[in-house]
Amino acid sequence: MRILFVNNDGGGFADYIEVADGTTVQTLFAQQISHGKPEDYLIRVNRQPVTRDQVLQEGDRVTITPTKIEGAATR
Amino acid sequence: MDDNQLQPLTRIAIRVQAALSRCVRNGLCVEAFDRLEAQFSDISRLVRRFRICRERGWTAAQQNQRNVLNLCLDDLDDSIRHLTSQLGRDPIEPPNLRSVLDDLRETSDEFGGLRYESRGACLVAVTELIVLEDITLGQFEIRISLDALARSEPLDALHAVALRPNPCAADDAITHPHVNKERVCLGDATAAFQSALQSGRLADAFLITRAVLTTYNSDSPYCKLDAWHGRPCTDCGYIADGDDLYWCEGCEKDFCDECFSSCAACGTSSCDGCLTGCRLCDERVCDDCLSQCSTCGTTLCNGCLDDGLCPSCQEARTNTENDNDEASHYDTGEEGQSHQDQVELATSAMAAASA
Repeated sequence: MRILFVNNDGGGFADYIEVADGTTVQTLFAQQISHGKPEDYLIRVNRQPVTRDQVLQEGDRVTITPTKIEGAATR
Repeated sequence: MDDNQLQPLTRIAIRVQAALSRCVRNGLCVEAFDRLEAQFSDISRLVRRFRICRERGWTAAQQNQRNVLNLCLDDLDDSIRHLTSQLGRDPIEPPNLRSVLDDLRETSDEFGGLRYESRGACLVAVTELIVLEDITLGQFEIRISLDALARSEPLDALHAVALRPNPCAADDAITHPHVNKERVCLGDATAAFQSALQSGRLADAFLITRAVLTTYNSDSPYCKLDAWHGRPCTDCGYIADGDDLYWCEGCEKDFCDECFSSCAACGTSSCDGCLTGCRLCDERVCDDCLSQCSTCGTTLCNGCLDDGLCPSCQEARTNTENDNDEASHYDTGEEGQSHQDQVELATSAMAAASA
């Protein structure tokens, strides 16, 4: 099934992707953010907070945003 | 529908959508067109010069212009390819009003409110209280300018304003390790922020900014938190905590450990600026350990002066003394006898002979 996936980690990504029917939020996170822990991210489905075991539906909008990102200082 | 009947958030959404529409129109290829125009202008100028050089028989100048022209044509080729690629992409559609409204609602939910300021055409959300390494920096307004957004300048659109500033002691414009003069240096978040804003994902842009403000990157701050209440080194400007600064008695200023040293002769602590390098041995010494050669006036450290003389003058004095000694030895003849003694002996001898 097709969902809109927005990943605000790294360089940013926002596009439709195909996922298997029955994919949960937790599974999607593990597939897309292999290096991170869910507790370090804001995960929203259709702009709402959800549990990790929520099953995704066709057309869902899933957003993953880190809660900690390192800034810098331009000289 | 009467404007007064619209929900405030909807009115804001209309303004935002208009700005995002302008952003899409302005962003598409404009920069590439501008660049192309500038390059055509440069090439026209070079061609005119090339013709002049050729007409006047300036061979070397002609070759020079030719080389520059070659480089410009290579750049032009790259620009044309880039523009062709951009034009070949599917046009970016601005988000519809519904999508913008959903974004604004999400932002309002995440931040406990969202407002629009007509002066400056800014969307404003307020963060929670930010405390980094036990230093309370306070709440920040994250402000996104719709005008800058419409001009396709996403990084210029963002400002962070401290509501109750607790700035770095060395510079009150630094209100956060990654905020200087209300400009946020997004660091690792730069690409994601630009992508979010250019796509019209305002909620994501606000959340990304908040993630930067709630994180301390000790490797690259405007001011380190452990020196937040510190002072700058007088020499290099490095901001250090009071315990890590050294006081120079000579010039009565603060210095970091990199700019602080000691006299190589007497060991007195001093900043580098109050030490002078000996012209002979290069050791850096304080003024008390410097003296002038009494003959030539050269300033050297006391260790390089011998009896108040520099090595050259000392050598010259030694040579002079040796010369004087040799001359004195030649005048006496037998060892130990002076000229006067010899005269008296001769006089006595002659008197005895006469008798």
